[in-house]
Amino acid sequence: MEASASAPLARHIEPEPPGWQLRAVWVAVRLWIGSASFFFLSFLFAYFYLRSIDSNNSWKIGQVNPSIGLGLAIAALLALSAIVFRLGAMRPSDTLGAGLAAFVMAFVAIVLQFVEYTQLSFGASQGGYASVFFGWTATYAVFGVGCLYWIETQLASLWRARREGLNRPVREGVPTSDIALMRAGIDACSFFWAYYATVGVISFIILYLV
Amino acid sequence: MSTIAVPVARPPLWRRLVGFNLLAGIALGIIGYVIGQWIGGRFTGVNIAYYSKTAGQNDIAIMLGYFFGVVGFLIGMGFANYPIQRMLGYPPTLAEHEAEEEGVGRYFRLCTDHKVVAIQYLVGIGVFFFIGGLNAMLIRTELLQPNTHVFGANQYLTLVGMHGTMMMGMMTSGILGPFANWVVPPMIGARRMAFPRIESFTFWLLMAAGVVLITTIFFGGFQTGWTGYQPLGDQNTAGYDAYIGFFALVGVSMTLLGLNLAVTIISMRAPGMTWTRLPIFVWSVLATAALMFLAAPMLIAALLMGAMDRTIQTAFYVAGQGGSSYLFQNLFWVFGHPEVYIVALPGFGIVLELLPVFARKPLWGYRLAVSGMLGVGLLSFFVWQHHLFVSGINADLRPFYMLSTELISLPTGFTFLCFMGTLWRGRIRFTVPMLFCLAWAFNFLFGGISGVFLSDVPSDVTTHGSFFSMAHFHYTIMGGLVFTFFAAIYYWVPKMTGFNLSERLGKVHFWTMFLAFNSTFAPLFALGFMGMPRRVVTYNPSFQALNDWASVSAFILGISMLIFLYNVVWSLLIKREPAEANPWHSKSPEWQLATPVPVYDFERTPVFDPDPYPYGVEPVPVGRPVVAPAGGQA
Repeated sequence: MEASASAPLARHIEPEPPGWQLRAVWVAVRLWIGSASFFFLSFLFAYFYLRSIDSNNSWKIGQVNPSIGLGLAIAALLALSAIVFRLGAMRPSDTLGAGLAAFVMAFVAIVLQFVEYTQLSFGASQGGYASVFFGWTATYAVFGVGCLYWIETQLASLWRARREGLNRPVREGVPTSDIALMRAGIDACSFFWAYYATVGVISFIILYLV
Repeated sequence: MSTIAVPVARPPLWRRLVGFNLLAGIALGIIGYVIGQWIGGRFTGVNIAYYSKTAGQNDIAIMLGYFFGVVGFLIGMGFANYPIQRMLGYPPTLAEHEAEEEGVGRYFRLCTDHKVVAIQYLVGIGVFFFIGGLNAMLIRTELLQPNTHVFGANQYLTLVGMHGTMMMGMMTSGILGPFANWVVPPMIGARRMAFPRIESFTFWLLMAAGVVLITTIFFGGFQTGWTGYQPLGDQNTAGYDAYIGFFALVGVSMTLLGLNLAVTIISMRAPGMTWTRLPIFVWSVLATAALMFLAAPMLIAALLMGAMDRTIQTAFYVAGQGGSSYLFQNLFWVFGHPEVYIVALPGFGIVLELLPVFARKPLWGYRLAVSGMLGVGLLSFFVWQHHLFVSGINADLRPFYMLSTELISLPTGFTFLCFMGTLWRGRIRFTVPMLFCLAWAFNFLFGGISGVFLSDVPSDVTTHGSFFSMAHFHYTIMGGLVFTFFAAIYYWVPKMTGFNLSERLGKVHFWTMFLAFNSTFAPLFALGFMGMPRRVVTYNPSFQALNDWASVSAFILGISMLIFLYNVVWSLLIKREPAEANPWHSKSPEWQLATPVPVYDFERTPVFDPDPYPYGVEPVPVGRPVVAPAGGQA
């Protein structure tokens, strides 16, 4: 670590302006959404490109229809999870409970996605649609696990901070108060999760309904 | 007030070698690779005892091997510790292993000091740059004769692929990794990057990617060139898995590096550092960063689709099963053309940043230069289909992409205007960095003009896929990026390391490199017009004289790199002449720091004057300087 509390002090340095790290978190999550959008745009492009050229009349080979019920359940859980977390993030007293509920719903949605793979009546090689379906949903689910990790860290931070009374002193290397940074992190996480759930709902519309 | 600790006694060497560092990273990386291979073998029903016979053709095992190997490496480097702490609810921290008492050990582990990461980048990328250059020497050796005489066709194509992939993959971070990481924080008045662990992560991920690419030689290589086109990719041996792994990791590294830089520039500028005061190099970094974090995810997605085709049997790129190889071409070039500007834009920034210093004049056309770089960045997303002119795209699409590609020469021209305007009536000093900047203008002009031929449909139809296009992009990328890369090395390394590079050896290096570079690649324009295609190991005997000329020139170009290497070893490791704090008499903030630069960069958050390039003019009596200038005159 840069400095230890017990080491003798030699030189004073001015702390960086308050708010820099908060602003960085705010900006970062929005730019990150830009990155993620371009990533999923690739699958959207693949969907319409392969569908439009219908190479070798193989957009769908045989009966290639995933269960709309399961897809709807996944999309609904994602949407509900995002709404609950976002609303909870806006009210500090409800954040922990809402976050836990959102985490559970998101977890169930991802588990359902993997359950769906065991129920499908087609394989990944059965045409362009099947390829896009597997590719898009699988990467979405895997990155969704990453989102679950992010939500968990926010909830764990909140839980630990509450246990310690929310009044820990500012520590070395942290340029703003823990609490403000924690709130910024929760806000960023819930904002991204709302975006990610929206991508999930759009993917449901594209892959199951269009 | 924050505080820093005084130096404390370092633990003995053996204790410093134990822990999360490069040694542990390599060990866990190897273990991870074996575990991944084993799991992959179990998936596909291959017995571990028979690996030697089957592993080379088992894509799932190889992919999982790479994945677990990289994860193991990162765990060994210490990148899992902080995420686990965060899972347990511990609050965020920003600094790790920054203390100077850790000595050179900082350079072999996760370190969050932006200056350490920058030097890690410089050395790490330098190593792969030399490996890529060595591949080029081997390619030119093979082309000394019109028939195969050193390598077979597959080996030759693998060399071509490795050279192109390594150069394009590694050198995307060639300027941003070392120089943006080092220079941007002090230039904007920050002490660090917004997310220092991510900064370190991008570097070590890039190094892991480089190793993954090299392993392709154990699995038959890949014969696709750096573009990895389908269906050749899907049909390739398992060596193509290394290509996928490499570029996907590079894509992740690029995305995170771009995000980190953009966030830092947007949200961590000191008081007075307004958008219109931002150094031009920082603008170029911002434009490049935006391209990186927007374009690279499409590359990652395209490669993931390729990986899924090869492992779980999807058919994204298999025409007979509903896929299309053109899908890959489209996705690749949506990334690939911005990639060209990811490589070029930092070069623009370096040239325009250095010219005022060595012409002793303010930058001419600051806003024009900014709009030019942003214009190039924006337009680069609308030109990708010119790479598909001869791939059978709808003919009605061609005029749009032809015009959009030709349009991009306008904002590029802005940079040249600013270049000439700044030199005009300047008191020019022909230092080594300045020579490299001047060479950039010469080289990039040829690269740019030849690019117009390739953007134009009728001429592209005859030159596409020929040595002409190869000469074009070497003039833009090597002539544009690599020359400015060396300008940046000669300019900033005295501040980064605290030691001078030899000016005399630098000039020998420059002239050898400049002459050999042009002697190597100018004949390739002619060869292209005469009809010599790229990526073929045999050619018409009538082309031999020009090929031999290019090969001999390329060897001299290689020798120029050895001169540079000698300069580095002699100046930085043997002679070690301490550098002045501001040998170029620059007015830029990073040169006002002490040499060697302390961990915390500066004690007080700086406040900036309104003019970023106050050369040759009276100081403006507004604001206050960061610290007393370390040297210099207007």
